[in-house]
Parts: sequence; structure tokens; C-alpha cells
Amino acid sequence: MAEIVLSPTSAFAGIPRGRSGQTDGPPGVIASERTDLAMATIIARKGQSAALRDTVREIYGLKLPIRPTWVGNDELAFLWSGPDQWLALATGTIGPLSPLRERVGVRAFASFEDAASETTASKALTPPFPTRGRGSPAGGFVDIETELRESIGAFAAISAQGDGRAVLRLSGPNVHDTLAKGLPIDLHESAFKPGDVAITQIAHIGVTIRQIDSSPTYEIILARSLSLSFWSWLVASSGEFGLDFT
Amino acid sequence: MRIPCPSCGERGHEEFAYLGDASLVRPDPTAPDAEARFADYVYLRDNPAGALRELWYHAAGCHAWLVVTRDTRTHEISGVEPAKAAALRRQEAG
Ligand SMILES: [Zn+2]
Repeated sequence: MAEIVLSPTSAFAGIPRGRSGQTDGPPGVIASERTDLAMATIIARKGQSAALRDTVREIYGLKLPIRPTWVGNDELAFLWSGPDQWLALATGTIGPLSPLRERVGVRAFASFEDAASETTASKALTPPFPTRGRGSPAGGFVDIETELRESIGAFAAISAQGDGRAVLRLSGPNVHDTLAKGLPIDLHESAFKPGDVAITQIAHIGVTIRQIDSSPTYEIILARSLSLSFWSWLVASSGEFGLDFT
Repeated sequence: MRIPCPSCGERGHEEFAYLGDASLVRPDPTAPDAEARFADYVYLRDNPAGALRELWYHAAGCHAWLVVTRDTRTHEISGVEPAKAAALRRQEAG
């Protein structure tokens, strides 16, 4: 039997790069795919939300948001994802067991037990939890799932999402005009700012949108199985302005 | 109709799934009159003209269950709270 080799493929790999829609002048919308992200969901265990937030602040120096916002930077970010839920995004190509905590300059817990005993939470759950997992489809990425299970697994359920989600970055002078054709929330700067997050839908496709900067630049996170449906909507909606896929 | 989600802000009702009356409590299946109580619980509903506390699920948003107080005549919404908060309150009240 022939050996089957499965190689990682990004969600938008089959889409040709370049210009679509209106071709005169500069593009109204610029899209690019984020293929460098490892992702995992974090869901606080019952009664452990405060201990989880304390521990994340201690280990990563970041406050898990309790409103629809995101914190962090390109290396590690936490997006609000519902009450007591977050989505972690991380970049890096540093192998399966990440020294992420060392790189962000804070001390690491050696085990679940250490993490649990060093916080005030008395009811922290104890192992065993599975401690291996893939954080991203491409392998060789930072293993965010294992990283988070080791650092905060006592307080939260962690599930890798890198295989299941696609991320598009959108910018350009007509990005608002385009998104307004499908996104039911107000992106005016008085209503939605850099650092804000919303979970909603575009053309019946569930999306998480976060604003990166005030230019404005946005990221759309969606189920990768719907990425081509989303792309079809984006091409149609940005057509009058011209779309550049870089 | 727009529903002010306590987590997400005001959103169109198309983002939500409707369940119904939030006051229903599952009967004790071991009670002697359990069958009659379950028939009531499963099938019989009041149909008030006015304020009704009802369960909505923010399916396309934060995935939280909410208790929405809605006037069935006007769709005016006078209150929204997480269903979890309402359930905890009921638990504490016994
Ligand atoms: Zn919501």
C-alpha cells in the first residue's frame, strides 16, 4: 500500500494571490492570511475563574479580559471569547515544548501541583490531564496547548484550535464599506477601537473580529471549513473597491 | 427586535435562539404525581399578554444563556441577565 503523506495546508492556500474586483487605482481592501498562529481555547473550570486570571497575570503578565477585548502582542495574545472563555493566539517556531514563559521573562511553574499550591485557590483540580497536543496545523509552531496546560491547566480546560480556525487580516481605505455589507456591528471609531473584540457573524458565518490598530486593521477568525464561503463573500463585497490578496 | 446581551452589547435577535418560559422547573421524577407534573412541564404554557421572563441563547455571540424579560405585546425588553446568575439566585433561595 502506498504511503500516504499528509502535509499541512493553510485554509486559503488554494486562493490565487493578487488583485480581484475593480482593478483601477490602489486596492480598497487588502487581505492577508495569518499562517503563523497557534491557537487554543481556554475555558475556566467551575469556580476557578479568579484563580485562572490571577495565574495568567502572574505567569504571562497579562490580564485576561472580562469584556470583549484582547490583550497581549504578536507573540502571545488572549481574546475574550465569552464569559469565562478566552482564545489564546501565539506565534513562534520554537518547537513542541515552548520556552514561551522564559521568553516573556517570567518564572515558570514546574507542574500542575506547583501551580495549584502556589495560588490561593484551595479547590484547584489536580492531574492527570493529557499534556501533549498540537497547537497548529503546520507543526513546529509553538505548542500553545501544552504550554497552557502546564501553566494554567489546573484552572482551565485547554483545547488546541490551530487546525480548526482560519485567520484573515483585513485593512485598506474601504475595509469598513466592505465589512458593513455583512457584519452586523458598528465599526465606527466611537463604537469599536483597537483592542476590541466581537463575536458575531458575517453572511451567516460565525466570526470573531478583533481590531489590531487604528489604520484600521482587523483580524477575522473563523472556522476553516467555512473559509472558502467567507472568501466568496469577501470577493463579492469588496469587488467595487478592488481587493488585493497579498 | 434587538436584545442587549450583558456580555456582547445590543445585537439583532437573529443572533439568538429562543427557548421559552424561564420560570419552568423540572419536576421531581420520583414524586407520586410525576407523570402529571411532567405533562404540565413539557406541554402546558401560560400565554401572558405582558411581561414574560424567557430564555434566549446567544448562539452567534458569546454562547451564554440569558433570561430576557420581554413584553409579549410590544417586544419591549425591560431586563436581561445571564441565566447562570438567575439559576444561582434560585439555588441560594432553595
Ligand atoms: Zn452575548
